Amino acid sequence: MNRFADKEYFRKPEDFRLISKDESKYVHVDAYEKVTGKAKYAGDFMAPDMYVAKVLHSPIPKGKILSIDTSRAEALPGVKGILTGKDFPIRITEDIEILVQGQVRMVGDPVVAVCAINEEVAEAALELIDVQYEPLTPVFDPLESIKDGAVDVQGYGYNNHNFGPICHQVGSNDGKDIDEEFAKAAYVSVGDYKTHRIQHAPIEPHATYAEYDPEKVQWTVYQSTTMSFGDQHWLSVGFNMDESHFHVIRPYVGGAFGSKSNWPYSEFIACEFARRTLHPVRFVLTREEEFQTMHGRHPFIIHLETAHAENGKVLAKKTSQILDGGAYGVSHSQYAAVNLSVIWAAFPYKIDAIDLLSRRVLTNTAEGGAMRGYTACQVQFANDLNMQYAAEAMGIDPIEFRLTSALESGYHSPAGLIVTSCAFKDTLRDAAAFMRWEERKNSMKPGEGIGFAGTAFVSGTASPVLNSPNQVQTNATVRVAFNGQVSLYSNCHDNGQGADTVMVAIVAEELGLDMDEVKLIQPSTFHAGYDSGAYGSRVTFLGGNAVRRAAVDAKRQILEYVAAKWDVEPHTCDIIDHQVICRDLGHENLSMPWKQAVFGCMTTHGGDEVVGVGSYYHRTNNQQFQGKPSNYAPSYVFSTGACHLNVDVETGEIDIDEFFFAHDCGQALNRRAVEAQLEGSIYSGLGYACYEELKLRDGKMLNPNFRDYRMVTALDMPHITTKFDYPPDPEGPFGAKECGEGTTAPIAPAIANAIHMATGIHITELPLDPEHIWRMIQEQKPEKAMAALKAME
Amino acid sequence: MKKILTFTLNGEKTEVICEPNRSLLDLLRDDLGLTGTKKGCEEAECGACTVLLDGRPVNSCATLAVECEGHDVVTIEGIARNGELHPIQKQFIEKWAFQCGYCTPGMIMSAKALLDHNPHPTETEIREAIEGNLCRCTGYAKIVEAIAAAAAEMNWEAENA
Repeated sequence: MNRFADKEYFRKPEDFRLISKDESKYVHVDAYEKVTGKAKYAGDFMAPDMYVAKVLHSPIPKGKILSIDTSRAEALPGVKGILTGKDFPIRITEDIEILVQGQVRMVGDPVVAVCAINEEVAEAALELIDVQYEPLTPVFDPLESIKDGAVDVQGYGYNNHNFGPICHQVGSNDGKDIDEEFAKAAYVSVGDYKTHRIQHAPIEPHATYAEYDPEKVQWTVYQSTTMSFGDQHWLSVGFNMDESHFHVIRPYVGGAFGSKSNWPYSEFIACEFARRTLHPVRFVLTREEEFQTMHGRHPFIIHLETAHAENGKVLAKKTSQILDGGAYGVSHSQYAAVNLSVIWAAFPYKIDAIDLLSRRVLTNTAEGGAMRGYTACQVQFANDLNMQYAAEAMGIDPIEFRLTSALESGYHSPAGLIVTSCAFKDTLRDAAAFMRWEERKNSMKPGEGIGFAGTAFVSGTASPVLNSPNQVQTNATVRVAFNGQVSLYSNCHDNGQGADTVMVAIVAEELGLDMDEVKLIQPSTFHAGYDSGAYGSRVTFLGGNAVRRAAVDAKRQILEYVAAKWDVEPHTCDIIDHQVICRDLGHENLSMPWKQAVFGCMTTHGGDEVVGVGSYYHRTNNQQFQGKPSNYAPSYVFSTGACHLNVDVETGEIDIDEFFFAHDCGQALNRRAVEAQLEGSIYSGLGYACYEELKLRDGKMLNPNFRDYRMVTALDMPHITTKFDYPPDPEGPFGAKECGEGTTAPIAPAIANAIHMATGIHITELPLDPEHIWRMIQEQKPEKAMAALKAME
Repeated sequence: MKKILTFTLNGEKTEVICEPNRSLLDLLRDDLGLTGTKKGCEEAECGACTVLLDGRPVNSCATLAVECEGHDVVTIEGIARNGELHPIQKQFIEKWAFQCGYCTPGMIMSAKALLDHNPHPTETEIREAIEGNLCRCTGYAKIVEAIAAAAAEMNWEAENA
């Protein structure tokens, strides 16, 4: 059964027993393991004969490797192997080498790998390795890098920006001409914005535990990953072997936020040492390696212009967005960074004429990559501040201003995006009502502000990065044993967001069972079907639809058997609380226990087990990745964030006393999980906006550790209220849409708009830490801040 | 030079041989297989490695194993009582106070240290007690709620014992 499943067999909303019930038997399937410390993460695997691996990194941002002397390290007792780029010349894309071979391109490039009996010996060995470099002139500023004649960042002779990902979408609805739209505009809003560099910093660092079986020529790899089939694929590319040689197992994953949708050098190195030594090899990244080498959020430089009609309506938009990509990523997933950043620029308003350009530029700094709210956090920060400033300049209430252009169901964007379910306007109105905006907007004291920000996101990255649509699909299998026990074979990746739990709940809901009766088979690339990964907000929507279809396929077979016995239509039957029942008029008294129905179904099919299969993918094409319009995702989500705060104009410190978040995620499958995702999103967004910043000097990170990289603690969090009761989506599983990724995007602009209201400072850059706010107040000396200062005297 | 270390671990007298520079965290995880205590930063900042040393929460990554000589160490593996989860563990489940679960053991140990010494904490006291435990997933709201609920449950149990 594929996506065109017979929806007549789907559970009807009035029969939901688990979905979105406050008092339901919806349980967290990982609960016991996680509160007792029994949950095993990749770095928790070990064996008595295990070795460990470590890497020596480049200390300079750009240079030629002149010589590597490993002789003293080799002589150290306990060292079991050493690899350089020459011994292990693996390249997995055009530009990414596992160990660099001739030239380093950023501080942190892996240069030499060591395998030893324990961490202490491995660390001592690294100290004994001597690498000589010839330093080359680096470039750190993307605006310098993009110029003709700039330093060649990678040394491959590629142009720093034209070879890499670039996306330029120009289009309009109803034959509108963008220049004419700008010419007839009542107001044109022009702005330049900049965002900074941060890191995912999951508390669990990337870890690999690899074993090798020389007889089968097979690796078993426990990997902290959100993309195990990606690991399998790139290992097969790297080692030039068929994918069937790599059994990648996803154990519990200690947070990812985008950082684990990659295939880190550590994984390849652990596998190679396991092959060479025939010992299990563990490689856990240090916190510094995590910061330096695991592709954090891209810094952006954004220029944007919007044309507005007399009533504020957005007529047209032009942007030029430059992403600082760091030293790598001219291919594969980094296309997503530029294409997504164009999609976000086209959202969340009806904009009939667009000219949107994004370029990802190389610099000799740490690589940028996917991170929660992938490029949306940057683009929507600029988008929303620009809307706020335009509203003010035109003298229109900012809520009204946004409502005038807000996306609605049925809108087709010139970027090819088709809006289906959409409650964006409701989220804006709910936020305004919660903040008592009408009542309070004219009575704020100096230093006090309320800010709103509206954003949109995809509900499931579905447009294929590679050429086959299957690359972004999910497969699932539900097997019903003779005794009624149900096993779910699903690789939907759980990185803490609760994917394992929601998939079990979906099967239990469709089959009328309790969650503990559905057994999830430990996911791995050998034990269950394909899943593209936990990235791009695709798990619940795409994975959930695949799992639901597998459950319904099994249910259909059982209902057909029972219906034939009862001589009724099978789709008039369903399974409720362990009983097959019939809804057909005059047959309401019929019922059969679940186990009896399963056993009967099997015996009539010669003893075969009942097996249901399901798959799901969004029927689109990869045109978005060619810079052409296409409908990237099967659905989209819409959010409004709002906060009330006070600014201490003397110190630049802010005190957020209330944060409200309204999110159109369709039908919430589990209310507590949705609430938790929204609270976590506000945490992430607050960190991005006000606390976290990776500082670089000469390409070297100054604060790649938890002491100097400031993160939000329990004492810093504001009080949060959430709302997510909006209509179900027609295509999502049980009507559900995305929650927890795009929801990080409105936080920074909401805070910025509130600070702007409180002080009058014109904000164009992140982060908004006390020092930056204080500087802006000192430099701009806005009337409001000055009044607030005076009031403090 | 290696030393014989004798201490109480989760209520059991324990004797191990260890290097004087071995951290308590590495001893617990790699030598004793108690991987419930997590390694997050190795610089006493994230709190994922929190254990109780004589009832006080300590970062085991920044505690030498030999410092525990003659002392009492409790880890996440040692707080269930009589075959039942500790009330803090129960409330973490009840309130969905975890997501990825990696900070959870350390968070629960900090909470236990708080409630053992202060059975009626205010919300601010709860937040202060877990300030040194970083969580990247939850936003802390449900964790604070769970600890408050556990305090209430433990007080009710104490009053009705």
